Amino acid sequence: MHHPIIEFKDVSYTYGEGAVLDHISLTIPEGAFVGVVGPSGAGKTTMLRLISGTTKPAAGSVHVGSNSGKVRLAVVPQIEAIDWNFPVTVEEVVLLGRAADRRLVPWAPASARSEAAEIMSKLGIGELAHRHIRNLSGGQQQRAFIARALMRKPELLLLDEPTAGVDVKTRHDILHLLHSLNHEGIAIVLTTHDLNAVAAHLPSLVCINRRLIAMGTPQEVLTPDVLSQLYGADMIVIQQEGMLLIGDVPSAFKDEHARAQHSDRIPAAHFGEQPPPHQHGDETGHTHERGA
Amino acid sequence: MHYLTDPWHLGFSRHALIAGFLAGALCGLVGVYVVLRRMSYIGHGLSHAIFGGAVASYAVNVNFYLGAGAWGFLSALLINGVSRRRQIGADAAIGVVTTASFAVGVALISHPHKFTLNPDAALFGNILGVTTNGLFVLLGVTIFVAAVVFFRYRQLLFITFDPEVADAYGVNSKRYDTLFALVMAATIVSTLQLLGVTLIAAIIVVPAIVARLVTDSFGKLVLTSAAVGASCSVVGVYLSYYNDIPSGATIVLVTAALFSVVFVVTALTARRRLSRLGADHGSADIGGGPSVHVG
Repeated sequence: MHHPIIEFKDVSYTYGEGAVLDHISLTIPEGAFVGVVGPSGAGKTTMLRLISGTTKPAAGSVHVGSNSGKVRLAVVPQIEAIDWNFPVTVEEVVLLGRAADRRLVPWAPASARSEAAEIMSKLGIGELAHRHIRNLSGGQQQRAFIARALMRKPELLLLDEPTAGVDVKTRHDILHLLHSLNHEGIAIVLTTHDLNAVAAHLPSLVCINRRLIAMGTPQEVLTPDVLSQLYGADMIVIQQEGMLLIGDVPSAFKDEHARAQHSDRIPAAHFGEQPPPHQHGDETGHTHERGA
Repeated sequence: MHYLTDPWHLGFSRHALIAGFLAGALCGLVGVYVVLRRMSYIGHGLSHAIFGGAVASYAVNVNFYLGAGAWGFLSALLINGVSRRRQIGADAAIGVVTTASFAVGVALISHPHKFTLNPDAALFGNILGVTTNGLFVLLGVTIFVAAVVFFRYRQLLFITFDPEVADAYGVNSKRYDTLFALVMAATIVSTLQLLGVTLIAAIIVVPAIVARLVTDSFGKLVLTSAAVGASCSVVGVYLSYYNDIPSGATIVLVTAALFSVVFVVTALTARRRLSRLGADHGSADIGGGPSVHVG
């Protein structure tokens, strides 16, 4: 039985107009790997801020702590929030993970530098230590900030949209890396818009849209009903060989009539041989579920 | 050679050279944080705000450094407080707080007191008229700011680079914002009479921009900016001494000239590197040289 590391009790938050979070109660256990999903403005980043303690709830209480007391946490911000022209090298960023250490001189001790080198090497950015942060790929930038977080030896790692703006391979690599860190005992909470990635990689999800919509495994919560409540739009969920694939339904395709009209109007693109004759019906063998 | 040594034989010009060196290094040091926090106009705004504080101190017969310093510190704290509100950016906060403070000074100076402030000195600075007392205050402030930057280097770097998550890493952003407000107020008050209300902003901002053009490392940026500020100020004092031009103006002209030269040279160097890479590889994608954001 895992003890809770994060507890929200009837938490509400507002930036002035309307509630950003509305009476949220949830518990996340030690060692969990949780994705927070929801539409833009749903309160995902606010939830991370409440967990990190940089924002206080307007009502209710947030408790972050383990059985042994206070939890050491680290935050990886959204890549878009970083000033990439700021004059820092990768190593300088990583060493900032120890910024709060009681040390009077500006330079880092040899032990911290070798630890930073070890972490960077583990994350595959060891060769880039003296490179300016702007001169990195999206995945390398994300790893530099994860390395900074790991310098803090966190028990809880919070990541704000770590898969935003990266290609499929990089996204896979980042989530694989987070999996490894989770296996080492670090509890991880991340926000994302990427439902297919979390469905494939994360063991549990929290769905919020100002209020808590659902919480559980991807199989439990990624249903057309929940997604419809979450996004206010129809979504399709396809199961194939145990994998969940989620897609939205453009309004033009909502009914057969509109779909037929649409496909008549717009020529399809084809490569190579001539296209097969137009076929109605589903021959993919997938199980489709569509929201109301 | 005597052009370099002559000013050292006279007390007032010797003081001016020492004051120029200290003020330039101080402003260059503080300017790094000002530019990177996108608060370039805080120097301009705070000097105007402190002008209000200086007049108010004079009106109630309080020591200039204490009265204007406290006024400047309060103004910097107000700017921090106002800009923490998400709807209001730092630039708007500087606009509101500092112009209101300046207006207080204007209102007071219009009052039928007999003010003997020299408007030219207040606006453009008079480094050649620096007193021994003023020199010691400047030395004290320079040592204080250098100590803050040295002993709180990593924390100041963190709140400048990534203030949103600083608290989560154990760096108390409010405490360091307050410390930075104190540093700003002390810097402006100790250099205001030397550099002038209207020109001080340039001496804070330009050395940091020049340094930014030549380095991508924060540590090197801090040292380069302080060195550029100090050397430009000393050259500016020499020019002021020999050409009878207000010292604030000559220092700004020297920093602006250096900026122009460094800007052109770094642009040409980047272009040459690009064409060399293009020749080597047919086509190339270059991240470009260091870039600067002001304002």
